[in-house]
Amino acid sequence: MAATAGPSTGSGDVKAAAVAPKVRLQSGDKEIFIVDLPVAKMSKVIKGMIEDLAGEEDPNWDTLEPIPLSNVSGPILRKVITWMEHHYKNDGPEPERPEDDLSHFTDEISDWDEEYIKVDQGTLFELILASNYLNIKKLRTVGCKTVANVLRKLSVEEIREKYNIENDFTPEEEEAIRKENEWCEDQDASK
Amino acid sequence: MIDVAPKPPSFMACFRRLLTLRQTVEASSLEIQCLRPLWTIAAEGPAGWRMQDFKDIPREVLVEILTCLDLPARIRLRRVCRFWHYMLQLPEVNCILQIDRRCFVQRFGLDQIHGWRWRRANESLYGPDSCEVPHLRGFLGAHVRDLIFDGQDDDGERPADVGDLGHPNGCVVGDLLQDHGLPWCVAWMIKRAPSIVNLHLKHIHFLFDHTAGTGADTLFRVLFQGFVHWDSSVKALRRHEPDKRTTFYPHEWEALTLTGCSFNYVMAKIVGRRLRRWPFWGFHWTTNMPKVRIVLDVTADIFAAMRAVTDPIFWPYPAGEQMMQWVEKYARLLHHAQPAAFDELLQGFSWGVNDVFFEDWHPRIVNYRLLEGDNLIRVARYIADYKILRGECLAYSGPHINWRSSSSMARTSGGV
Repeated sequence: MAATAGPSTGSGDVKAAAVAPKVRLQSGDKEIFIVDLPVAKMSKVIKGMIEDLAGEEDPNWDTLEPIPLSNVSGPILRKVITWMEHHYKNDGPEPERPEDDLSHFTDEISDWDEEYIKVDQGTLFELILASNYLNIKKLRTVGCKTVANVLRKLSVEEIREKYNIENDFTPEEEEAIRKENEWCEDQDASK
Repeated sequence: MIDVAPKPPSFMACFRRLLTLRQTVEASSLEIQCLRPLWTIAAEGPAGWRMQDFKDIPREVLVEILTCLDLPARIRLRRVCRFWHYMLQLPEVNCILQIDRRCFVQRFGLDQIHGWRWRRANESLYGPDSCEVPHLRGFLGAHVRDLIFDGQDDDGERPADVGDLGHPNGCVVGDLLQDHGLPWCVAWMIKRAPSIVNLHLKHIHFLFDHTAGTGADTLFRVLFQGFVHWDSSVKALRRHEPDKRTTFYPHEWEALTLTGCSFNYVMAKIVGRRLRRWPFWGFHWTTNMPKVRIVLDVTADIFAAMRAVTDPIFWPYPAGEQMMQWVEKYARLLHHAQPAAFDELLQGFSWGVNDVFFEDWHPRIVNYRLLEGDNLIRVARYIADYKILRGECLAYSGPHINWRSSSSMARTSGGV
């Protein structure tokens, strides 16, 4: 198990980095990342773990055991930390929203996120799953929107082929749905 | 020194070794599989396989992905497989629906527009309420809480009918009322999904021309009050009570979210006693708004709040939590309809000078003491924007100078 230095904090946040305590995160493949505490708290799962570890007293963060994130591999965790650091620096902590607030569905994917999420399909799915596991809602939404944007551009046949989905409709069933969907096909043709 | 070749192992020794090796490999694989999380196995997997299939995605994530699709895409992708057909029609996926103008078509009758209807609805001209839309079964219903209307075309191009106004992507609000029929579309959806309480407008271009045309306040009045008295084509949200002659507006909203919207503010000017409109006369400027959410829990303040948010004369507003405080503060100041307020503003400028012939009216000199409250703030913002737009300042009018002398000075000096 080799201790790995986490992604460095940006130069614009030098003062904060000097005072902010750091936590160690351990990926599923035993890679260790050193992350600023406020950045790590962008994940609600890590935040909960930190609060459990810290208890009521202010702990010595250097001597605390690394937080195990066994469901996330090292490369993916590194990418997730990059995302958290960027958004913490630029957006600050995510405000608390009510559970039924769906207004984030109308948010545009920022240019930085768009560039960040330009990864192969496997990595994209892994990022979505990691953000789901770590409970980083904003990152999960970015990933889901990216997949949805891909789906919108593909035909039904292309989706089946790309994602290895078997067509289990009977010909009659498929024909019935196709007939109902005619107007959508018209729309596609008119694009 | 004699080289002694090693003795080749016997067949049985090889077999035994092979067996031991295999057992070791199996044991270590088993150990790895036991110790390593399932995620890692799925991610790296045998033979370099990586997680790429939807079948490996947890249900809640798949729900979120499908929720990000617009309604036409959801309808289309039901054809992928039985599981997707089932998932796409779940109430939890369809609690939020995204539509755009392509979902609807105009309904004509007796040579005039009778409103809008869903595309491919099997609807007779005179029976819009009894229409049958098979492909919407399961999508609409009481589970829908949020409705998104996206004014942007799929390819990101602006709609063709925006014309030469030079607007960024989006629809002009006048088009939304007349050509895109936004109130009709919303009303159509509300009839079939009566629990919609959150309205999201995306990529809408609001045109503020205080002297003509339809403004954002008109759109909101239609959506939130159900009608405007002077326009019979936008009565979509009104409901007539059969026993009474009165009409009422039954629908209540909880929140309005504007995302990626822009506001084009048009200032006309008077030339030769006539009001000349932009684009040939006067000037305009555009303000872009990334996102704002208005909670509509106080009915009395709805229009005022929306005016405060959507009227670019008050911008830029503060960001974050202060934004809503700012809105609340100014919303209470704004209780008049917008055109009326602008009329007051014009009257403020022309107070006492009705008999004066303006060769080229232009508010280069403003006596702010003739204005108060709402109009004063408008003028203040106008002055600030004018400076940004034109790179020059409007003249300060001292307390002793009234409008008549100010306008005379502007005429004689050709402006400041």
